Amino acid sequence: MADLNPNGSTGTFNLACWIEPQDKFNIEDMNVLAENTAYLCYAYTPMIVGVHHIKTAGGAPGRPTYYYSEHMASYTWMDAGDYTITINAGTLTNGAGNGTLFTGSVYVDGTTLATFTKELLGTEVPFTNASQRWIYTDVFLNSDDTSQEVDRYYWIGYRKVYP
Amino acid sequence: MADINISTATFTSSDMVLESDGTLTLAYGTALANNTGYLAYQMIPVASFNIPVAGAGDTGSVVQDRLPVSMPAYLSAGSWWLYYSFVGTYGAKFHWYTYYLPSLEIAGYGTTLEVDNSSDWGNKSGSLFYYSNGEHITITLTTSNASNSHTGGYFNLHARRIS
Repeated sequence: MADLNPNGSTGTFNLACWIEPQDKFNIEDMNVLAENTAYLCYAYTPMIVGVHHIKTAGGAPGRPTYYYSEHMASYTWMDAGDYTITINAGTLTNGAGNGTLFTGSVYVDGTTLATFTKELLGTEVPFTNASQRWIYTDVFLNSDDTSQEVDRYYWIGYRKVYP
Repeated sequence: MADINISTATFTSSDMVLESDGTLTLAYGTALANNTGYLAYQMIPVASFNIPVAGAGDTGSVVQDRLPVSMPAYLSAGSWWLYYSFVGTYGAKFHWYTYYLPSLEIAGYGTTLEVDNSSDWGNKSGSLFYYSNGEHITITLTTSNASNSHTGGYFNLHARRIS
């Protein structure tokens, strides 16, 4: 017998797995049902989904005044296990100063998962959680300029890696 | 027959794709049923919201003016654990004024859950039991300290089905 692949990322949910009362189910029907359960494992659960707004002004280059915190963070209740964390960061708006000189960084439990200065799409990082607990995820946007403003949208989520 | 315990069910991937001349076994059926139970227990994102910390110099956009925020959501009928977290962050470059986490109210069919964070700052997370009759719920973030403080932080809410 072969194994299911719950770690896959492509596939379809097969709707043709309903057995009418007058029918007899067969091996193919059961395999469709089993493959559908594997397909459902592909889903990601969000850890941080939101807009981080930041604005800086004045001061010297590299040492601006921050109007908002450069830090945004979240706790997510996670079971023990191995995971894949996907990191996606887009730029919603660029304000004064073009918003091009921000350096972004993403941490999970204090470990750096990614740093970036532009869009970040589809980055995947392995993560192991030893026990069921709250996992701390945080993002930073540090400005190298004196005056700029940006809204950056994040989508950071996890999915289980199955043995 | 016994019930599936969705809180302890595991996902079985090995030997779950039957050969055409294979035989259905009790172990196979049990594993397939547990796969569905496992999937039913996975975390579901309900709401997330970032309320950036604002400075007094940012006229017209101080965070206290943005509350209350009301977010409608929907949980299908059944018993749920709700996992909420607030994380208020100054960051390293923005840390003056007095801040408070918003308070959380979850109102649904015959039930209102409240978490009063009006005098707290920092991080707060926890879980709440919620029974849904299949009605929509309303998640409201409020502050009672708008007159003398700023309110900020990232809020998220996940749900896990119990039964």
